[in-house]
Amino acid sequence: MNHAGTGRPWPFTRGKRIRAVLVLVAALGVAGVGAAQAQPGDAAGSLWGSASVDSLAATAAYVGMSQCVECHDTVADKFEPNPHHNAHVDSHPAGTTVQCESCHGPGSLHVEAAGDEKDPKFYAIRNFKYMKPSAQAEVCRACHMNGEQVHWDQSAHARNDVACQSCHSIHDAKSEGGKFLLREARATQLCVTCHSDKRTELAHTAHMPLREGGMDCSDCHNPHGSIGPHMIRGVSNNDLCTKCHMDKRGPMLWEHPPVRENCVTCHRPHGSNNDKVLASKRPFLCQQCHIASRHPSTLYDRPDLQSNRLFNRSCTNCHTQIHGSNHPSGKTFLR
Amino acid sequence: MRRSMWLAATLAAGAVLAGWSAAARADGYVTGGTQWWYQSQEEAKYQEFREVPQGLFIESFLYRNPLLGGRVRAWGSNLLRSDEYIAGDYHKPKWTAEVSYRETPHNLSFVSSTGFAFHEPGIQVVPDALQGAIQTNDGPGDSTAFVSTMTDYLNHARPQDLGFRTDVLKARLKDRPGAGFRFEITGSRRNRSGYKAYGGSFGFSNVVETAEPIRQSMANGEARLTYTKKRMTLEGILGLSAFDNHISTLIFDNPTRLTDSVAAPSQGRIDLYPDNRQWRAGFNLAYQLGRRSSLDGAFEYAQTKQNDPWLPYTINSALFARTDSFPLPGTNTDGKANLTTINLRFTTHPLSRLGATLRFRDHKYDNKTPEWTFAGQAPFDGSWNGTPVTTEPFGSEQLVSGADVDWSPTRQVGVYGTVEFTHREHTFREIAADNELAGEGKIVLRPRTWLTAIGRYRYGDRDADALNIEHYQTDTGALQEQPGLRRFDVASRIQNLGEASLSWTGISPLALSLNYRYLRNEYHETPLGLQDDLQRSAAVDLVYSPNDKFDIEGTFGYSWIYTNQASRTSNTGVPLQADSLNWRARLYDEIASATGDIGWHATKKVEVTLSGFYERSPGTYRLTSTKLTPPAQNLPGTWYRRDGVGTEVRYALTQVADVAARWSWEEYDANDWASQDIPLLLVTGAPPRQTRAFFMGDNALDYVANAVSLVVTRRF
Repeated sequence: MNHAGTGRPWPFTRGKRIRAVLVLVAALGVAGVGAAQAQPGDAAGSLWGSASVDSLAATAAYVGMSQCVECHDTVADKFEPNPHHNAHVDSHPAGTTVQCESCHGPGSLHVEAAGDEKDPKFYAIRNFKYMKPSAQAEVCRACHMNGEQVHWDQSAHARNDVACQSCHSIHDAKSEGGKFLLREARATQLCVTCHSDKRTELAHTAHMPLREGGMDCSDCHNPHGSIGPHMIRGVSNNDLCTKCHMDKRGPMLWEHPPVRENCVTCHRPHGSNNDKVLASKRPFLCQQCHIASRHPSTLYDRPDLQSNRLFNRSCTNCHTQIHGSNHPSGKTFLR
Repeated sequence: MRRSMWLAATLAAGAVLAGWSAAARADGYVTGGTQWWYQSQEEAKYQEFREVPQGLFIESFLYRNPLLGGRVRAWGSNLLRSDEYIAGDYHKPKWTAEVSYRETPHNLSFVSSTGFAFHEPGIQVVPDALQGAIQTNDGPGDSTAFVSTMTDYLNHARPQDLGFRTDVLKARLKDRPGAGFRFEITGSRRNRSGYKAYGGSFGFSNVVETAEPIRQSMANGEARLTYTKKRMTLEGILGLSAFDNHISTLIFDNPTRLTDSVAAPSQGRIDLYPDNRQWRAGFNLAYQLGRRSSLDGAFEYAQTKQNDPWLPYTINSALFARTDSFPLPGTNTDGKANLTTINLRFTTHPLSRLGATLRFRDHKYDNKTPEWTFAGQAPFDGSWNGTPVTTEPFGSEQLVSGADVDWSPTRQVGVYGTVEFTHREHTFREIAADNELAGEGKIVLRPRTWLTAIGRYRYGDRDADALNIEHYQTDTGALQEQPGLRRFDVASRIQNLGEASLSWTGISPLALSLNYRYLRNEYHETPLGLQDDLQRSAAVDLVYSPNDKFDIEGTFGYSWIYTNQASRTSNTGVPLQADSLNWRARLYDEIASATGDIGWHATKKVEVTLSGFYERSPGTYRLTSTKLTPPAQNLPGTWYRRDGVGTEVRYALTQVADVAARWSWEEYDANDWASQDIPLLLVTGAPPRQTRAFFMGDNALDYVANAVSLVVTRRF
């Protein structure tokens, strides 16, 4: 069975595909019921996030970090080399330097509970694990509302309920040097846990040095939001690409319109089967827009395998200045 | 040797630092060791973006210590290698200073060679004797003698690695000068150096592949000042950046000519990327309006300038007398482009479970570069075409208006809707403007805290203005492009996008996620050019942790990209328009990738990890024609396959020291007519229309590589 006239057969018939999906869903359902029975909910028996505790917490008072350390000494040890530790805040009831209660809220009732999980006061403190993403962000953004995070409220991640703690681990960062307090060693490892299609794209033979550690997703995208499309760190795709590929920025004397308008017309930045992360193999990529006459229109097929218009860099064997030329004789990007 | 001395010195310094740190309140670690590796063939892919160390190496380090009322932190990886990274910062309660340095190699070929000698940067020559012999004795009419002479010469071509390295130095200072104010200044310098294969042409198909010398530097600086008061954040930004190309021209000999003639030059000259400068200014505003509403605004203006001096029309002295009678219309491009971006978003939540956003975006690339008219062109330094030509300083503008609605009727269900209208304008293009109306719906189901299902669908209809045929014509009105061609980036288009995902997470021992994506573009009003494309991808992630001793992780991904383009062959000055000349290319790019990792805590002191990966990316090229003679024939399929396994056994010597033994194996298999069997000399056709091309032979090679290493980690 061909799909949409593409001439490409699917490995399974439609019926088999539907059955496979149904079996998978059923298996997940059965396993889910089993797991739910084996493990009765993540906060069962606890009062984290309940309305009654929230109103109770409103009556708590600040007690200072020394009280916290008495029980949470290992957490405090880890917190000491943390950039948050003793960082300045302009005004906060917990003090002008970041302490435990700056983020977790006043802890007097939690201290009074003395570790008794049956006492509702035990839960009268912010536990980020049980907070809604928007509530987590509200705490973090009391300080982090400039620079990187200025557009957070309007970001796709905020809209899709991605929590700060989904990517950051304040007390147990795994990132190199603890930079940005990430949950994984590198930002890319974090991103592909949700954007798994991008992990596949990065596995292409032509790719940028993400998997080798030379760059990260966050070099091009600001996960906290931006004014560009797809949360990129530029006002447009070209603005982003030319931050590193500044040589292509121009303006050139002879311009190639798609180059000036959008780099991703020809390139697949997340990876491609084709040299230079091109969207298609040359010369066919060029021939999608250039038919004209003579060699742009010529069919290069099997007998032409060693034609210098087909192999190696194909069209750009000669039209080497394809990103634009500043040479008075460079109209066809040969000079 | 020099590197070994540096490594020894660094290790000694580290040991001293560690000893001193023990007395101070410092912590950190250093990991280093020694490695031996072997690769069956010298294919650059193995070290494409990295340096695989041979002998001693320092893998990573971290050092943290209180200092002068603040905290200093330094970390890095791959020290004293071409892929090294070093960073450090110093935190005080009110300010932070950061600095980092990264080197990233991009190795392209270790097997390429060239017949050119590089006399000085940007000048590449072959011996005069060779040029003279070919010009006087072998001539273009005598193919046998030419091939014999050139083959003898290229048999002694010298190896020339292709690749470059990018070094990036960054610094940042963040400060809080007063209540509500934050100040941040960042700077970076990026240097790129090396060689990349580049093409020079001396006429149709007479290619001379050279190595483009890369000596470029890029500088960037930015300052931000933010003021926050209660519900408002206002941020001002000022930035400057500069690109300098330290080799602005590439001059290369024509191996077949010693002296210039009107028909054939002895040299060619390419103008490499010109220097440019940009400054930018902008502001951001985030304002909480109350009643759960907020306004987010951003404005940015940037201006880019480029005024590198022009080269003459040609380096060919025989042509120069002719072109000299047509002086250049100026001395430089006087390039100037203004970028303006306006973003406005208003978000409100009239109910706790209902949100809405109205948004507007305007991005304009206003190209203010003058239109220059030239008396003619010498496109390969070998002939003068005296038809006047005028430049086209392309510009574009994109306006996007949209509305989003988010509704969560229960905690388990989220429904999202979007309507978006995009208007684009393009100057100097065959399509002056296009409009796209798109709608999107998304549903999120969370029947359990550990189970999430998401479905998303988007439909877009882009309608392009009528074709302005003048852009397919010469100044005299002759057609120079097929009138049926529609370029896909500005063509009318129907777009369908669908996504589905299912994730099962948060309940031990299993976490599983499934993702599927479908994207189809149909250029429904395009007779010639790209007709449609389709992309499908699927991915599965699995984590299984049955107990404290075992962790198993696996991923699988598959992506399939299809493009379908229609073309028409023509060998006349004005394109022929007969359907019998039509041909079609259907291309399929696939990728299948899988990774697997197993971690086993065998005992309290022994940890074993096993990992593997597999990547295979085949390409299929189906070419068809109904009436062409001879009919179109498919091109051979291509593929790139890379797979490998690795293992590590780690033993805890003490509480602060580990030792690990590692082994890794990697295999690479390339099969691609475009990057294999590339000769140094290619002669095709018969004199006098014979084509002669010179290449560098940067062929893709298969390889198998093994690496064994012993690594020690010391924490302090």
